[in-house]
Amino acid sequence: MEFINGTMKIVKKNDDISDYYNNIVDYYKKQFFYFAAKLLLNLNNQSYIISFNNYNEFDKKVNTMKSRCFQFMFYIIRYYKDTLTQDDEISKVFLNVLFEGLKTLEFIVKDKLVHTQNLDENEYPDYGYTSFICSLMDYILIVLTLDFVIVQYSNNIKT
Amino acid sequence: MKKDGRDFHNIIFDITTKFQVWSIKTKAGKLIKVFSDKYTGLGEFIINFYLQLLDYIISSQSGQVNLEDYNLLQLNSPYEVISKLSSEKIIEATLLVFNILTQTVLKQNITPLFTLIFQRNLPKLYLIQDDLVKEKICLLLGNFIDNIYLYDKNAKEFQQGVEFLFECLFQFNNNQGLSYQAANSIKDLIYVKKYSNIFNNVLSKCFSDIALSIKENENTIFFDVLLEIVLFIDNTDYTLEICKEITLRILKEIKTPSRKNLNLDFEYNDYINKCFNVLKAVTENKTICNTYYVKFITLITFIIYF
Repeated sequence: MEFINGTMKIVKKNDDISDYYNNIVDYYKKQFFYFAAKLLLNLNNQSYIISFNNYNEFDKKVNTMKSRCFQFMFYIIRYYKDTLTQDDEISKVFLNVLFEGLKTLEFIVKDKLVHTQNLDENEYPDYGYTSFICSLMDYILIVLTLDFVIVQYSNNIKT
Repeated sequence: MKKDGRDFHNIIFDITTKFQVWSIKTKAGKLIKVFSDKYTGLGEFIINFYLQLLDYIISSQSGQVNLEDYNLLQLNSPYEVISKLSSEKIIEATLLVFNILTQTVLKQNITPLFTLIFQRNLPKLYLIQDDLVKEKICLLLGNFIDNIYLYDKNAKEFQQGVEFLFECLFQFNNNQGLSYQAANSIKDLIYVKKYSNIFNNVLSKCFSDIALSIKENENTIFFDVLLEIVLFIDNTDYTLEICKEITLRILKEIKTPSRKNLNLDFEYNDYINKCFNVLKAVTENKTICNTYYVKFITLITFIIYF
């Protein structure tokens, strides 16, 4: 603790360590983010992110894991929300996931509508579909309400 | 919906207003609401689309209509998906969307079209026998009846809406969710002073049923409706009758608690608490207290010494 011009100021002795620590955390956060995105997009080489194979156990495992990836990405985006710009490397990744997510949601609504209609009524075994769709919608919600995404979309509409 | 009305009512409240439950419908409701707030003009587009859809579906049930008259339905993507559903499902979803976007519906450029479409179609909607649709109509009437029908000009149609709500209120044994929703909507309307004439007219037709059902009714919001009748409908006969029946209900609850409260302590019995709230409200009515205080005190002491 030092007194500068009569006012008390706390001086950190370990500023360098704290910066170093923050950089490492930041680095790993981004690496995990890329990893989660990779898992979401490439896991079972299907055209859509969701696994919808006639209600089997494989669906359950894949969809549960993918829901967690979405939730993880959701928190990372929320963490960087105020500082993100269009040119960040991370932005390109989550926009890519967003477009795949939107395609998937369209597929669910168009082709699996009857099934998803009944999800709430427990008439069919769920196999992770509800959790996946909810996580996907949360993800879409947070990405499409980022300021620079709104600007970009409104520019696209104008042009 | 049919077995646990309170839960069902909470779910619908969550889908339209709170957005906290982890379910697909809630998430969809939140998406619609947040996007409408963030993207200028999107809310208006959604409302216009669903108004056209509702009008088209209802009109096509009663006769031939031309799809080309509805310009927004020409957009292939949304209509293609929606047209796979049954008409009841479409109407239910449409009504739900209006209740999610309440603020947008009340915007100046939307309200006239909204009013027009509903003035034309509400009487036909009342005839649909699907409980989920009825429940959404109750929700809609609670939020928008004063926007759809001007009190001065459309008193008859307004009254028809209120009668529909009371009709649904009495459906508790068949469908608890519907009864809860109707009670909630009545509760939201009954305290408005200028509607007291309409409520007086409707109550003159159905008050005997209300009084009869006090003994058995397990809809907790029903007791809030009674409370508001006592507070806002200035009718001594109704108040006295309610007072009498409520007292009997308290005695019944003490002797044999209702199903839902069987495992609970006497002090936590919801119905008893609600009944006492009604009695407390009676004491706020000076005319009744001055005239009938001896009778009233006798009733209360009877409960105390029981």
